[in-house]
Amino acid sequence: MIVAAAPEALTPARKRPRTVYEARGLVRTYAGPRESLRRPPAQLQALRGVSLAIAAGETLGIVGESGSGKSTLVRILLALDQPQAGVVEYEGEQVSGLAESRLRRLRREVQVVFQDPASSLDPRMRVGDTVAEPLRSLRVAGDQQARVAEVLAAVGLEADAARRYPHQFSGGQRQRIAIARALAPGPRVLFADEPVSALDVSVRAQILNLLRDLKQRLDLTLVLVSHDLSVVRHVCDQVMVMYLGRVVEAGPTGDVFASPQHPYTRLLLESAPTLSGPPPRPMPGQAPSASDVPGGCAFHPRCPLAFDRCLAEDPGLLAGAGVTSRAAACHLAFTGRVDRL
Amino acid sequence: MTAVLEARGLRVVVNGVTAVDGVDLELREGSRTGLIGESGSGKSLTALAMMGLLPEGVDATGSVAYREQELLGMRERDLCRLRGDRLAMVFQEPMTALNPVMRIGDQVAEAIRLHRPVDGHAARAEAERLLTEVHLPDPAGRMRAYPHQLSGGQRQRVMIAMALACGPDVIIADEPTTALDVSVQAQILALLRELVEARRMTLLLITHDLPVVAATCENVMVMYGGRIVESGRTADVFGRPRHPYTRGLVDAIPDAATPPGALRAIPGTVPGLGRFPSGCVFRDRCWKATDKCHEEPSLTKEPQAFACWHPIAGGETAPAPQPA
Repeated sequence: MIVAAAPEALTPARKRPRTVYEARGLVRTYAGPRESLRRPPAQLQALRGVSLAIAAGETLGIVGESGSGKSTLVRILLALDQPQAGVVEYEGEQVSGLAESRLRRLRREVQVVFQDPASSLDPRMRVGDTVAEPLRSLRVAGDQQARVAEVLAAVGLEADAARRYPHQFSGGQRQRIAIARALAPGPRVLFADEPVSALDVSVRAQILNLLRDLKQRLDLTLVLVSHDLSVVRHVCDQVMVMYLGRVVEAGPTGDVFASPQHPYTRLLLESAPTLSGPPPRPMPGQAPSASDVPGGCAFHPRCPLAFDRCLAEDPGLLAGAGVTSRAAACHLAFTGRVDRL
Repeated sequence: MTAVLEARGLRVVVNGVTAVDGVDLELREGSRTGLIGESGSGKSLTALAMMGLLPEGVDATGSVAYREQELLGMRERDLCRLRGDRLAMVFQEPMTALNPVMRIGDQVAEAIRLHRPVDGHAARAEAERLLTEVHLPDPAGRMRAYPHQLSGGQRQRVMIAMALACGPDVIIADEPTTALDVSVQAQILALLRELVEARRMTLLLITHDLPVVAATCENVMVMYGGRIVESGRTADVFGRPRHPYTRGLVDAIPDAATPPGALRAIPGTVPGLGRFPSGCVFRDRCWKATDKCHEEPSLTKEPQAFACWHPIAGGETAPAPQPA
């Protein structure tokens, strides 16, 4: 995954894999809850200019906390919501701003698995009908029953699961059903939005292994949204960190986790508790609000490294000198200053 | 060191199903103990039973004692005085635990006046002091705020301030950071540690999240199927687990040291209340299970105690994962 206005500048042309998804300058603002009859409602800036490119076959992790805009970004990439500015292209064709009737290819080739299978599965539908539903609604040709059996087997469920109802399954098995439904129309890109957050710890690893395994077997492009850094570190080869509607850092997961170049990424990594590592270091300052985005660099009020330039000037996403696969939105990125934070 | 809060043979029955099955638990003065468990493990019912907060129709037997004072069967009036006064609880979702139409300051002041004979003015002054102690930004201004005007982390700080209202010496926190963002979680955990130390309280932290316990507690108990399957010092239990279930949990968590590749998942699913196997509750998911495991193992008496017929020795791990 590569980010920035001119993605080709970041990766050598000869190695560049085919781009599946590309987004440029996405902006999305929502009206917040009305606090007073006299004042207009606050504007929540969910996305403040996000650009990205997703290469075929990669596993991209999108990391962010509440208010970072990661869920809005996913909804816009899935064409479930429209940006107020910016463009989304899927396989070179624009998909933002199109009528639903012109999104047939996207609907079939891009599927999504949500966090909580208890609410994303219809409790009154048999599992077989649930899994077959996208085949019907997308009018996919072929033997539906055979396809249902095939995808249920692919996610490790018995064939007789098709005749049962969601409540007869455990949380982990229900997530397998949701994954089977997403796989049914034969997608090329799979989005997974917090796919294991609602599951018991001992079954999370099963679902993560399943996603990895399916990605390889079916040659999928996988986009995993998670607040859990350890999950992203383990599953994704590329990572994108978001803060207040912006991408603040992006690059290969191993590199970003080993030497984060945005202070937020670094502090976020250090604030996560680990089993055996050093104790977590609390992030300074208060969680931000999307209705009151600080000027300059949006992270400056919490940043231990902030200096006068950060208050005045919003750093764009900068590629590192000689580190073409990486980018960070910080005036001090790739100077060594963030490493010594 | 003496036990401040102690459970002996605690058994909780919900609709005829035994959800907590003979739990022994001892919180020593000033200690921080983590109680780990997945859904259906009985960890939350154990906590509620220790607070005397079990809902109507749910029966607890055995013994729960606060400083040698038996809580099970105590009159609700006496229990009420003890709760809040000596024992306090912090819940997972502050939005549902706080009154949405009451100002923050009034809620904290109410908690104070319920247990102490002070007038409204003194209670409000004390409330503001408590909000300062939990590092709520602008405590004087926030006294007049409603819960929805605060962030999740700030609401949890208010909950903690209410729990502190009467200077308890035991604090039971049930998944206090599960609903919070990563960066806020670290702040709340640091706050809990700081308060427990400064006020010399005893902490019982209930969670499904192993790293949260590793960061906060020096002792840990692992529950599965209503039983404690392993307990001891956190570093020992997570570093060298003896029970295959603990081993499985530790291995299922990706961390910096885990090489990329398939994680070692525990096979099967958590059976759910009343569907755990007889004998050893973990035997249907355990790679070491034998016929012996149809018999129930008891918790050993060692400092690192485990309930297993085939405890793990050395660095043994579960066999490599099977492709899904």
